[in-house]
Amino acid sequence: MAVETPTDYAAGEAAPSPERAAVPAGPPGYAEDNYLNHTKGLMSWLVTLDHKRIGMMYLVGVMSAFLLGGIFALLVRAELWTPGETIVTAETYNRFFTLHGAIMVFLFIIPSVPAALGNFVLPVMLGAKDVAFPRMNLASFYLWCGGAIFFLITLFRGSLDTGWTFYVPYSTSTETAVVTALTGVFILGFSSIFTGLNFIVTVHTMRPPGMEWFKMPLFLWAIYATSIIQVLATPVLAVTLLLLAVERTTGIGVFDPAYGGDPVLFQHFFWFYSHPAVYIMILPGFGIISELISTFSRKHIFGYRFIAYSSIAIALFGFLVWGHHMFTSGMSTVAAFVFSLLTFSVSIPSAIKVFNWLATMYKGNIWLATPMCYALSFIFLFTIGGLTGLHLGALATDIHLHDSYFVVSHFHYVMVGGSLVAFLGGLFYWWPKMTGKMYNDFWGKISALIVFLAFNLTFFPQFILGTKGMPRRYYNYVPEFQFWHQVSTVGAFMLGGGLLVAAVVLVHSLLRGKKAPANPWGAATLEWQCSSPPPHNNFDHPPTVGDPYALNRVVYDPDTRSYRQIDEFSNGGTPQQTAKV
Amino acid sequence: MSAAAPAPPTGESGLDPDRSHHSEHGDADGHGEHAHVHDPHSPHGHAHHFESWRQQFDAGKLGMWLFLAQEVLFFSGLFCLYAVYRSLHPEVWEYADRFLSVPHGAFNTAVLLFSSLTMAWGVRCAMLGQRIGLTGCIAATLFCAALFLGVKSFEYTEKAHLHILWAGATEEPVMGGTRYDTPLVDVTDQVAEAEASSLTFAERESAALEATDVTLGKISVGCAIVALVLMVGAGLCWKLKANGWMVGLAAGVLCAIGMLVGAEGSMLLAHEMHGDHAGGEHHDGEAHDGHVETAHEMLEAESDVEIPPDGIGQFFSIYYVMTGLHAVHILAGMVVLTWLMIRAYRGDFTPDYFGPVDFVGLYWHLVDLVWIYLFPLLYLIG
Amino acid sequence: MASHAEPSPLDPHLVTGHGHDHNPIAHVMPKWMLIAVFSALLALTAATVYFASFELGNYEVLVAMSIATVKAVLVATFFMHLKYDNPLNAAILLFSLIFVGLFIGLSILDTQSYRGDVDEWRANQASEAAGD
Repeated sequence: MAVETPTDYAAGEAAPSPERAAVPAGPPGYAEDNYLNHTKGLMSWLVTLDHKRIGMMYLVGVMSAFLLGGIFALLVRAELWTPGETIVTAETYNRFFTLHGAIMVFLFIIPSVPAALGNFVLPVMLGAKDVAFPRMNLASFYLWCGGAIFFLITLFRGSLDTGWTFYVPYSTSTETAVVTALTGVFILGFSSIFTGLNFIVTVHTMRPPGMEWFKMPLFLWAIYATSIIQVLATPVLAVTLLLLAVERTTGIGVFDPAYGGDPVLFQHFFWFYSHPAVYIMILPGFGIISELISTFSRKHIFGYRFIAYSSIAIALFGFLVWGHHMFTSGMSTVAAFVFSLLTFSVSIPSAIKVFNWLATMYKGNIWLATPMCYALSFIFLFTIGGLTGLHLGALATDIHLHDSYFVVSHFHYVMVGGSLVAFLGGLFYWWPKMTGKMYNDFWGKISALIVFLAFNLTFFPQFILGTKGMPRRYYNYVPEFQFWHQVSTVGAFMLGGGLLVAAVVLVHSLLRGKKAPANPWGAATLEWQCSSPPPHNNFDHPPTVGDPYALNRVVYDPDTRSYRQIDEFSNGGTPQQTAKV
Repeated sequence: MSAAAPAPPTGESGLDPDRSHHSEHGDADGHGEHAHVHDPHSPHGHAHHFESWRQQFDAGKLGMWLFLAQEVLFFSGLFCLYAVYRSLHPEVWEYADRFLSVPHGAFNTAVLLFSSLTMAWGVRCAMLGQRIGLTGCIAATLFCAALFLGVKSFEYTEKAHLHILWAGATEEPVMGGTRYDTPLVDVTDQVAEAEASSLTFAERESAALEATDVTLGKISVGCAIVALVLMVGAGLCWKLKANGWMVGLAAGVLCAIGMLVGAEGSMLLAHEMHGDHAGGEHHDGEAHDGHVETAHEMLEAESDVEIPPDGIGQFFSIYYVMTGLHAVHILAGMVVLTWLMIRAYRGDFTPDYFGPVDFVGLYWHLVDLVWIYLFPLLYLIG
Repeated sequence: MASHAEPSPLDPHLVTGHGHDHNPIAHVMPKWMLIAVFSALLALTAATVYFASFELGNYEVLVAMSIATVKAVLVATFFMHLKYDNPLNAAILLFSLIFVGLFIGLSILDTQSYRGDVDEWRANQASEAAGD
């Protein structure tokens, strides 16, 4: 436990521990007028143009979707407790795993970090008053709501059983509500495009003086890279789904083999979006982890430019590898070879990030607050997820592992162990800023621990099941798989419990939490320079833009119970005057 | 004349009655804070989170270009379909494009190019603060858009009467697995009947043309009625000094007349192509009559003997999807242009604030760009 | 259309780009340029229709697409102001086109490679059906 304090700090008083910083009692710098109480009433939220409020509404939305998707996940795992029918029929099981996948992917993971956290954090971190197009931002939120409504309609109109991938010819022949679901995803796609577009323009045109490209926090680089994918890949999904809807209703014969269409071409169309989309899901997570690792190691991020460039590289390489989802779909060997080769290239920038995070922690003063606990489990889980991806990118092993539980486990390690854990880390990190309330750090850490253990309990057995030949999306299995399936199901319910603990910790803080200081973690990025919660216009005074990772220039201030920047033009001290305690 | 020309030269605004009229209007109404009255010198004119007009314009422009990039990728799916199926079945493409009328396509190309010109001219007018010029340019663009759709409606109607539709509409599924056992639009009997009744293709085409004439006649009457009603409405609004409504209704009149002229003009063009081969003059003045005749003669000579290849429905699926989605973009553009025309007439745009005109212009040019590729791909290459 | 005196299109001021048309924010397209671009576009349309009347075989696609691309470049450069804009906007357009190329290119690469298998399967299906 270490924290940097200026030497002119009152000698008699013990140096504050971060825990003390985390539970201040009514800091004097608490802004009375903030974005939450700036205007009142339901309408002031529903028609707000404030990116912070839109971010909060997104947060509520994506968390509700997460709850719904999570319930379906638990139903899926409950059904798999025994071979054959346990609680539902095979047809219902198909609907459960489809809805779990579709809701989690389209309604939760894709908008979770960019639209919920990104919306709140991005402009403040950048030092801007708002995003470039506030009305478009609100429109994008309502598009999300529209998409969610279509999903709800799908639930009540015969549901959906195609898997979230909508592969033809099954999606053109099943009797479930495919077109309704397609409409929902189409609308959600435009919500995502508008969010990405807004962020790119914001980063390009709204940077305050002094905020140069290479002074941007790495979270912004990650969101920027994500936005590029959102703008360039999502429209292909939109047109694919449109064509599929037209195919299903009229039979245009471009995807449906019944009219001479090519179902493999559909997979090309679908994965041209959906592979880059997995980077929409994970890249913002990378950004969060870069912030957390640096802040809670009390150390400047290692290899700043490499991490920044690797985000862009991942975004671009991500467009070149979609074919690796189709190695066993009847794709030609030529294309399979090309895509396999390209797939390995994308692992390089991801590995660069992991190495840089480890190097950042090396010799740092690691502070195991809740967000850091999530960040550390991210590194562990994502690395497993990433490395097992190499098995699937290799042509020969993929033939054996394709469409098995190995794949299921691999992408859950990346999507849950990666994206979700990073999202939770970010949520716990920015929660004091968003709500102005401190949560109970101890119980936060407990939740991180449960999530980490339960996650591994759920998904590690699935690697074993997969290598032994358990196919994904199956309702039934041979009896010798039952042990691992039951371990996995127990883990899933524990994971649900861990997430419930996290939810209780956060909700409890809203009711009973102490007021949060402006900078409880001692981070150097701009969002911690404004009060918690931020005022309506983000900054009362223009922020001082500096190195976002100069953590040696952030010191604890006992008067405000908060960290603050050392201003080199005042008497607050200089980096040379700071001492490690 | 660089992009960063710092300020309007002195005396420029004095030469421009529209602009001075506008600023008087703004002052007289005392709506200094009103979002639509943009005094270039007011520090509060631009949106609060921007520092300057310039920043707001640049942000909007960048946003629009990103939106266009998104549109390019959106259309890319269709171009990909085209490329894949063309490379797989070149014989279908060679056979099928004879059913598309080059003169109609070429005329539509010219119409869209002209609408791009008027749009670009409109942006120029907006930048110079010429209110009436801007309104006129937008009106011309809108009229061209309607003209384009009129021609398109002729083409679709004619094909429908010839039973040239997408795959699922006319073909039996070649294998199981689909939800439909029979074609959606059951024209099998009619097609078989037509084929059995020893009519040559040219005769069937003339019959279809007659039927098209009837259908389009009804559409034209509808357009004329709509135009009349809207015209009366616009007149009323003019009397009531409801200028916004008046311009909106006038835009509707333009659209209805444009549709009518486009549909009837295409009909004339088609009759001319089918009827009198000697008279090679078309009302649109396009300079490729000689070729038109050749293509048509070729069609007549061949259609009786050549057996249509399998998968012709797929070509028309792609044709309908591509042109249909393009037409949807035209329609969306018309809605936005109407909104723009109302604002332009009202005098919302000044040399400092003309972003919306520029951005809608960019969108309109992109729709034109897509057509620039669609025309040769579908109509010409065979 | 314009309210002030119109200089003739041959006015040397306009030709050299020192006309009266100024805007504080962006570049104003001179009239002669708009008309010249439109005329070029019309001429190219006529040309592409004219070339289509010849039997050019495989070159047909090449000729038609080249002409279309020249037209597209004209529209993008002048009507869409890219020549006078922030180069970033042109970069965005180029970037999106690169991705379109990737998408179409790799999809065709694959469909072309496995078309033999599909044709063979179809032929087998047909012969089986004939045999029954």
